[in-house]
Amino acid sequence: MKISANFRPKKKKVILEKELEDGMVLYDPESEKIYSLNNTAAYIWTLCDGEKTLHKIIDFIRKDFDEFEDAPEKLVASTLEHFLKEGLIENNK
Amino acid sequence: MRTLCLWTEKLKIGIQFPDEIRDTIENTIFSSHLRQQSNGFNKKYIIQKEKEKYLLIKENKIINRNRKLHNIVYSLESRIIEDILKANRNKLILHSACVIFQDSAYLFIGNSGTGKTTISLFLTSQGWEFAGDEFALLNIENYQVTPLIRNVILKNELELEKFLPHNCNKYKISEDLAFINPNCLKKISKIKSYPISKAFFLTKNRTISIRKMSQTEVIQNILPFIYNPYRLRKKLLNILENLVKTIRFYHLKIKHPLNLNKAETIYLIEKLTGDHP
Repeated sequence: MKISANFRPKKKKVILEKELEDGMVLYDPESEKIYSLNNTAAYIWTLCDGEKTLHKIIDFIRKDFDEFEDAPEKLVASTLEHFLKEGLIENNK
Repeated sequence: MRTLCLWTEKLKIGIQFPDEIRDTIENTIFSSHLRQQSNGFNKKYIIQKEKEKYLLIKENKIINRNRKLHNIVYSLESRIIEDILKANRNKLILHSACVIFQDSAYLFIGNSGTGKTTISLFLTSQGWEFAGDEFALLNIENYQVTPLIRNVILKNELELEKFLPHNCNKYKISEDLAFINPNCLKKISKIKSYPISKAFFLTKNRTISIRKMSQTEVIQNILPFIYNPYRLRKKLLNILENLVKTIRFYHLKIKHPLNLNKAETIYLIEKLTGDHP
């Protein structure tokens, strides 16, 4: 599930979230699934407001994080693709 | 026919069975919760023999039919677990061993074969109090546990009897399968609730190591060990959040306690009970 640079991820309203010390936990009541996000994934999640594009989110991550396991472009894209595949976000066209 | 009553918090379950299988029932299913009582039940199960098969009956419906009695016992056990959960909306069942030390509970979480039974019997042999090797009934309002003690099942691990007191009789079903009546282990209060000191995810290893787990790591790992978590629906998220914020979780890698020398035993117990393992 590839996404484009203009993709504007928006959290689905139904998803419930709780902040933890080292990340965040999400609950999708429709699929009854729990998702545990590390700090970076949790930060990307908070940026999914339907306004920011993929490109913009990558800029935020570059600015706010010093170290990356993957290139920020790859990290953000793969995280958003995962959110999309799991039905946690949608594209705000 | 004979009737026994299985007492747990908020629930009394009657089990009626033919006299000829009395030994099996008394020695295999939640023996430490069984009482002599023939009425006043919330639920009732009947085991009957029909030709070569045993039948498990609930509310006049046959819910299992099997040639092997211990399979009927397993089935009855899982039905009882469901009944306990339905009667205790404020509790969840963790697939975990539970041992009490100085009035606090220590949970050992893991799949079959990771050593829940072994560590719980080992610690009991060291003076801790046995509160179950398979289930922990966790109150999601105060995060305390109430013992829910099933009979210990030893499969291909009969050497574990080294950790049992001499008065513990094995009820052997076959050469490599035996049940231990937990009444022979150090007594604990089955009505009382205990605060949880720590919870450990178990992994077998060649040495001993303990590492504190992060909150997200606990959530990534704990769901398979909660019995029917999705019955909690939207409350599940709050429960998980409170669980990881209330209880200290660790990853415990451990070698088989039978192979621990004295120094390693002391080291392990210090690590389990210490403030900063």
